[in-house]
Amino acid sequence: MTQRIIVAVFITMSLVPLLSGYTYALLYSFGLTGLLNSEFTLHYWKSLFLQHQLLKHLWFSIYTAAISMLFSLIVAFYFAYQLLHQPRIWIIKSLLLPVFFAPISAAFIFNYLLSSTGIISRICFALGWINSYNDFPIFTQDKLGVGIIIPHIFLLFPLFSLLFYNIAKKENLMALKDLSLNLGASSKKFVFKIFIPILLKKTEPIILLYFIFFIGAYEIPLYLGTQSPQMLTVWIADLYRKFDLNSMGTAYAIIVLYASFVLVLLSIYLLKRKNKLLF
Amino acid sequence: MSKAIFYFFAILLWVPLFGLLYLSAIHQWSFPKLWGHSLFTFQHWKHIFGSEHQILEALQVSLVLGFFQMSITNIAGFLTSKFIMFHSKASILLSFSYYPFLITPLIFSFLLLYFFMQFNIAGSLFGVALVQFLLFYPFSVLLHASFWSKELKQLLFQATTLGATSYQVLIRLLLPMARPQLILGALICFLLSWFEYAVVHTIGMAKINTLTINTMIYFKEANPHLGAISALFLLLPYLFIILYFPKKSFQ
Repeated sequence: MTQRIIVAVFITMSLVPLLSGYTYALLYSFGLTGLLNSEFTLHYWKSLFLQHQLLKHLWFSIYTAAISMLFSLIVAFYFAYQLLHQPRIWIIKSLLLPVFFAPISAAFIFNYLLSSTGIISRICFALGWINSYNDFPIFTQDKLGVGIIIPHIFLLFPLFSLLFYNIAKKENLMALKDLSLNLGASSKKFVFKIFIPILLKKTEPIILLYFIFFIGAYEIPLYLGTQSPQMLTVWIADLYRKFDLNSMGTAYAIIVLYASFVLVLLSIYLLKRKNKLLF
Repeated sequence: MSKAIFYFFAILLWVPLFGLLYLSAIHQWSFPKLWGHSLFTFQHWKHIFGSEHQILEALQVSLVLGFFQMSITNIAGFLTSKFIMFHSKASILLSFSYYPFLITPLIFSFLLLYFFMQFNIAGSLFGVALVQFLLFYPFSVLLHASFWSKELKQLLFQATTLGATSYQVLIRLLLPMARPQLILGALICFLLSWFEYAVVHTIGMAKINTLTINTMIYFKEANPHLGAISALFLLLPYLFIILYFPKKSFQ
């Protein structure tokens, strides 16, 4: 009996807010509820697809998430491999520092580090490498999203380094390395044929979950992103918070699309793995 | 050589922290000067501790929200995970808990804002704590699910078979075994709430001032010094971890 009640509470807590919010957003986007709406309309959906903005922002989100992820993983493999050979406590403590960095603090300090009048630029000026702040390359609010990608890598790769390091220790990969070296493989071959594939296989679900989570990253793009192209979340927030009630409907339409995108992606993946994602 | 490169990268990790410390201790910071007429100053720090400053108020609000998540959400998640993992459809039930968090906090809060306004709890501390609870509780269940392994379940069955009452099982067996798990859960729930910006911003409606909100305000005001101090306060948990946990636990 207690079990039934608690399971029911759990299902209510985790699904009801989400589904009711989703239904409200869906109704709003079709003009069936909300302040200015009175009847069914496709106006918001039409304006969304006619603007040709959606794909641009979506691609930019996926692009920044993918690049941040890729570089974080590369650096994390390097760190985990080096840590296995030199397990120093101070390095582990250093790796913990970014884990405890709030995204907003990271965005704040990277803005003051990387901007053209920032700390690095001033050091370059003091050293005589540049003559004015115009000479410093633009890293923040740039078209390529470098300003978004660098803080993301800083925040993410230590987490993966520690994760990889722990798995490698548990799987006894050092012994496996000695074995493969004895059997005539080079260290390079060990890294690319054994070390990376084992770790990737073990952490594949976590990497995917982080990737989905990263597409929806908000604080850092808000600080360090451009106006165009924007990350999807920043764009949604802009539309949502405008004082124009017409854009509210469009915002709800994108929220519906985005939520469906995540729900479908995650459901497919969960079904494929028979719901056994992490355990 | 490879060792030197590795150490160099590890040292680079400290640059943002020193950047924040540097920004909090300088003044008259106009390009291209690296510091004002005196090298470092503590005037910003003195200014904050001298009066009832809004950063200190934000710190209190952040702590209240963090401790709420750390206790209520964490323990609720732990207890729920027990019943879920003993359920015959455990994996399906568990899969529900991915959705709220992965839909990202910002979208989640936009989905819920209307209902919070209807119930008149948007813009209140209770509302923010509640929305954070709704967001982190499923995640906390997921986090604790790995604790209920096959071996543990059998151990609990065995203890009951040998005549232990459910109270004894809880006090003598479960709580001592679950201690590290509960501490880890408490830490993660606290940090999730401590770092949260999007949800507090949306549901708090600019009335609830946490450290993250405060950092954003100073950023928009282009005030690097107070912003840096606010961002440094957000790093307090790291200091706590380094000082509190013994050396062995980092190995």
